[in-house]
Amino acid sequence: MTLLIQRVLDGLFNGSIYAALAVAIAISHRATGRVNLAQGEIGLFGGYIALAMASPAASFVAGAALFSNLPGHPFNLWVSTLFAVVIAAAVAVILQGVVMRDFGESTPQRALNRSIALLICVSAVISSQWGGRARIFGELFPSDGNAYINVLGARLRYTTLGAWALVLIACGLVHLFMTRTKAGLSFRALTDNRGGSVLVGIHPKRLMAIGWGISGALAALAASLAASMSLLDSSLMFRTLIYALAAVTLGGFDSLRGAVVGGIIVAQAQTMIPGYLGLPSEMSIVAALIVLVAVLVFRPWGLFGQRPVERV
Amino acid sequence: MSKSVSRVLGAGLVVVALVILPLLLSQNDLRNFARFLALVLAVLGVNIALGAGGIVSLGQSVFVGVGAFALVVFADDVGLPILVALPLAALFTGLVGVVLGFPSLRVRDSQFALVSFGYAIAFPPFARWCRSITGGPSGRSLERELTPPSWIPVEDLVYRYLITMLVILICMVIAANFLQSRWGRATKAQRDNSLSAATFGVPIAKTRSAVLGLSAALSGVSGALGVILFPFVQANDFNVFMALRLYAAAVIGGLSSALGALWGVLSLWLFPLIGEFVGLGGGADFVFGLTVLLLSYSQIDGVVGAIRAISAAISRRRTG
Repeated sequence: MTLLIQRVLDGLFNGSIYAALAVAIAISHRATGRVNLAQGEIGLFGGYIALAMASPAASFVAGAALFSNLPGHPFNLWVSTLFAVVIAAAVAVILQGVVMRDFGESTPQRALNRSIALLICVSAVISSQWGGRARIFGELFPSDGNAYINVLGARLRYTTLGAWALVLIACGLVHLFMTRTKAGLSFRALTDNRGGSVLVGIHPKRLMAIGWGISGALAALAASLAASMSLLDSSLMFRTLIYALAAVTLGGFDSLRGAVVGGIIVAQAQTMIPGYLGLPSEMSIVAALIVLVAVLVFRPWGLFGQRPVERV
Repeated sequence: MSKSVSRVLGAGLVVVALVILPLLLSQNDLRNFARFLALVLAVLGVNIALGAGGIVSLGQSVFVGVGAFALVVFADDVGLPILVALPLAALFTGLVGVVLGFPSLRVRDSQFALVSFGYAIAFPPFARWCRSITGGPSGRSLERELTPPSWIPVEDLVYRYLITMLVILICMVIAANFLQSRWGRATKAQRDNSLSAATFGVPIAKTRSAVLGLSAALSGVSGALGVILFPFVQANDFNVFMALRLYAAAVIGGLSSALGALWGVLSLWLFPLIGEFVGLGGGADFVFGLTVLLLSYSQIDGVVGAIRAISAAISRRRTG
């Protein structure tokens, strides 16, 4: 019983990462109606920016020399992460404006090629700048031996609590933006009825940029959380992306709540399936893939999405 | 260029490749050249699935890997001669392609892209886990070697090179004929409009399965040839970066003709050189990404499309 609770609690941490990236994918999907495969890499770029800011200039992290001229370097990891989230959002906005201008309007094949191209480019930049060995990111939350709460004999770590607090705050801010601001209202109008909202004077370009910015920021948060738990390496977000894609599919592509719940479910499957079948932990990615395929085949609109009406 | 002239030119190139290159190149260069050329079939797999079938296969590295491991298993564990194991490996990979392609019968093409991308990411850990087949993380080597029969007076490596060339040629001809055949036309019909294709009696599911199987089998041959030429194989070689590169190469080569795969492989060789020349270092992939990006803004179908457009412009000028 304790083992079961422990596995549930362990799965929760990864759930926060997948939820953040899944929400990011859902928002950029809302903005453009297309899945952005480069989402994870944009976040990873942010993660490396955070690392470069937090590293002493003498270390061999590219970009650290750039930041070392600023007063107060090396920065606190929290300051660096916050800055990296902003940078990732800015990068996403710029990419949207320059490269992905008509991402939403072009044919699916063209849009897919473009997001694959973006994925290859960002990944190439990352691996040429910071590739090679994995790097220690540092810890955002206290994680020594005593940093846990006892739950029926199992350990709920502060890292898990902190990660969820961050992700929920971020999602709460997004929710507030969507429901309480005029831009958020136009954003929702745009996702519901693209043609109609353009007719009443909404600028899709600006809103698409905002959507990409938010999702870039969330992806950077996901990357920083993932890196703080393990190591920062250049293929970190490929693995995470599959879990997040499974999560966002499970949640129904447009639903933010669905993306968070999907993240939790996928992360639970990730710890439970290898744990109880006696498989190595890296096999859990196959479990995520099976979830992805099963949902797409049997319930393509997900748990929270709306079943599309086919008009003939 | 008239058709007969281009045919003579093509035949000349093949002769040069078959006879003169083995005399000119060192053993090592010849091996690398052949390994490189074997990738044509992997790119051809993407080319056929996407170009003819309209099915985005981002996970072609999986089939290259399956083909490679299948050859090692058939040759070493089962104990078959290499030349028997090769078609069996292709057949097996084709079956794997049909099975893994099953979701593409049920979901939209843009969603199958995600699934196949997942295949590419999940394959290395999965293959490492199948330790008895793949040798785990350290990989395994091919013990049985392909040696020429006594009546062919060439060195081992030259023989392997010639076999590689022959197999590539056969596969290219099969692919080209498939595209011209009834099945090929059915494949293109369901790509353009699956509803109207079904109305005209095209069995959509069978056609898509067939094209995915063929695409996977071609890529499997590519992987198997790779092991024959260099008898060592490791799960980590068939990673997501290989998958992305193969996809990019197919798009860059052009999707409207099987020849696009040849041009695509040329880009696999050329772009790292360009990347080095410009000073990107390990950023050769950046050139791939940038090219795919630029192509996605234009209506040009890769190198094949560009050549077609240029020759059309020339002949228009000539006729005035």
